[in-house]
Amino acid sequence: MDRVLLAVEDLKTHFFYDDVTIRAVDGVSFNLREGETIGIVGESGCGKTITGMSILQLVPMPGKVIGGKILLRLVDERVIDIAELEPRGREVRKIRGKEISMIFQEPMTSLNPVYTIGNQIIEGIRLHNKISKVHAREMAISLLSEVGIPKAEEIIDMYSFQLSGGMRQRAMIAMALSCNPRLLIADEPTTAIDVTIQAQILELLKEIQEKRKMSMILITHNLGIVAEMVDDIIVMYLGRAVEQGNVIDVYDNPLHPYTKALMRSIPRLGDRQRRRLPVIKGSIPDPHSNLKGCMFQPRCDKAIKSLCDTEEPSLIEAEEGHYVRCFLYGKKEVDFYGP
Amino acid sequence: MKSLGRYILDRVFQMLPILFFISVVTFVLLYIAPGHPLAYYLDPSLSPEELSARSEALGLNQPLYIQYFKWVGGLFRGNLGWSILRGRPVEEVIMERIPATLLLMGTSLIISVSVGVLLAVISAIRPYSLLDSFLTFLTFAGLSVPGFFLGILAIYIFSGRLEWFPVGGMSTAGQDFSFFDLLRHLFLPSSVLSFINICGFFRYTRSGLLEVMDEDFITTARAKGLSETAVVVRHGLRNALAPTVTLLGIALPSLIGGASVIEVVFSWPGVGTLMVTALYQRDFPVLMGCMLITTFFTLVGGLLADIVYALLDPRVNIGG
Repeated sequence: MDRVLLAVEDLKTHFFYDDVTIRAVDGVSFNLREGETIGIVGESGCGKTITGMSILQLVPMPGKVIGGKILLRLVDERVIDIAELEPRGREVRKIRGKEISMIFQEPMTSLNPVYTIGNQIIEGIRLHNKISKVHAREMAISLLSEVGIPKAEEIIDMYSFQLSGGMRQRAMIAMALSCNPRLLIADEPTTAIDVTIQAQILELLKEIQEKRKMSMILITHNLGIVAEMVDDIIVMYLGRAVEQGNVIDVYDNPLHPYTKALMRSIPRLGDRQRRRLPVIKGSIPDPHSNLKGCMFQPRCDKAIKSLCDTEEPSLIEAEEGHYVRCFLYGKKEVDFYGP
Repeated sequence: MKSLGRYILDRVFQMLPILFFISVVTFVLLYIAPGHPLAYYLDPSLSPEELSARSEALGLNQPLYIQYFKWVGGLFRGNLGWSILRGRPVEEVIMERIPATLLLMGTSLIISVSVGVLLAVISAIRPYSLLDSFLTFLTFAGLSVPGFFLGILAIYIFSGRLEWFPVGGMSTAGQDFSFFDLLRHLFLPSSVLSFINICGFFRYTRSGLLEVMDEDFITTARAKGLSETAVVVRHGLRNALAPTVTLLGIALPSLIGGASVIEVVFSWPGVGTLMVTALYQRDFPVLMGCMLITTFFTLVGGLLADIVYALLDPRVNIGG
């Protein structure tokens, strides 16, 4: 069986503002095996992007990874805890872009407007490899071709504003792949792109992943994408994983009331027309509010009085390999699977 | 898309009406200002007839528009007029002051741009750190204190009390020219000017940088594994320099026009001092000449700034 590449244990990333501390990520754990894809889904503000950024210690100020472990198995079998690394230190910079790459939601603003595409790809290549400019340029051209950019020799000297959204995201992917990372974190890679191009980009990511035997973390709010792309899924709500497990298990048998509600609110082909799409009542609570108990309890139609609003449930293994953070499935604590 | 050369040519032609307008306004303002150009001559022994004859000879009795067109006519023949008090061509009077001003202003501009931008980069690498807060406070204070006060303070401390530097001027009286002597005289005025300008360049560049550092492509640059210094310098600075370039464009005319206040405080024999004395003496042709040159370089500064924007950011298409 494939081995674990990245083990995240009880990750906590908090934002320290003058008047309040926001627990953007509060106890997320998962194992990612080599060549596998894990999907992190949830609404805006649930902490999925911050989870991705925490893995590279890229959390913006005043956020900070304050707890948990991010264990990465290096090529030489050494295991390194990224959570302990200094965010600006040399060690984590050697991991960024080389072991783990990240691509972002907005390919327009994620590329520097004053440098050509090639310039930015070559910069990454030469940062981690001691090779000549000419050689790096050849590599950049072949990377651009690999991600399906036609006339790569010409596109390489263009600026991001001269390219279409889909081409920009392809260029971002080429940049992320430039040092053969073993893990790619894709943060909403298709959200800002034309619907017609989205499928192409996802297809490309899948193809590259299989070819390169790369692991992937796919962060998205689009449950439709997840079903086709991932092996495991984590459903996040207000910084916590509320349900996680094999994607087929979670889709076939969603356990958490939040996951169930999310699934119900996906429009489906063949639905009776004029059916009103169910919505999740209420909205995400203000992060300043001092919520007690289960985070989802104010919006939950199955909430148990004087239990859900007082005590916070912990993650329990309801079925084999299928975890849920809800009192409906008992109260016992589990020792989360280790690496 | 027009070429760069065509663009510059267009801009130069656009300058002409502006120059015309400003010269008219200045001419009229000087004319209606109290005090007659000949007031400085006022010699009790001169009879009204003699004064009138002088006025006549200088063309001051003619209607204003005739005086103006004569002045403009002179411009086309390459002369800026005739200094009433000095009895010499205006261009000659100004030209002999330009080296002193260029030396003082050039030195301070080079120092202030390099130091100001460098400090801004250091601040942006660790924003809101102790050093950043200190620099932000210091430069705010520097911009709040008037230049003449800083000048006098510097003279009081370093010339009056410590006697390290001369009080003013460009050379020690009665001494042969020496480079070291010039440097000693240059030190205080250029330091004060540099300090004031550093404050401006620092604050503009820093705020530009901090804004850019929130951009998505900065996160991309960090995600590549670049050091924070490389991120700020390579990815932040070039996107943040627009306000700095604007400030440089504005500073350009001062290279020729000088800084009147500081030059006067330090008795620096530059164009700035010339303007102030010419104003006291109501030597209007000299003033008109200085104003014309300053206006011209202000416009050139704006044009150069626009060209530099396009060099810094490929999205700026100045031909279009």
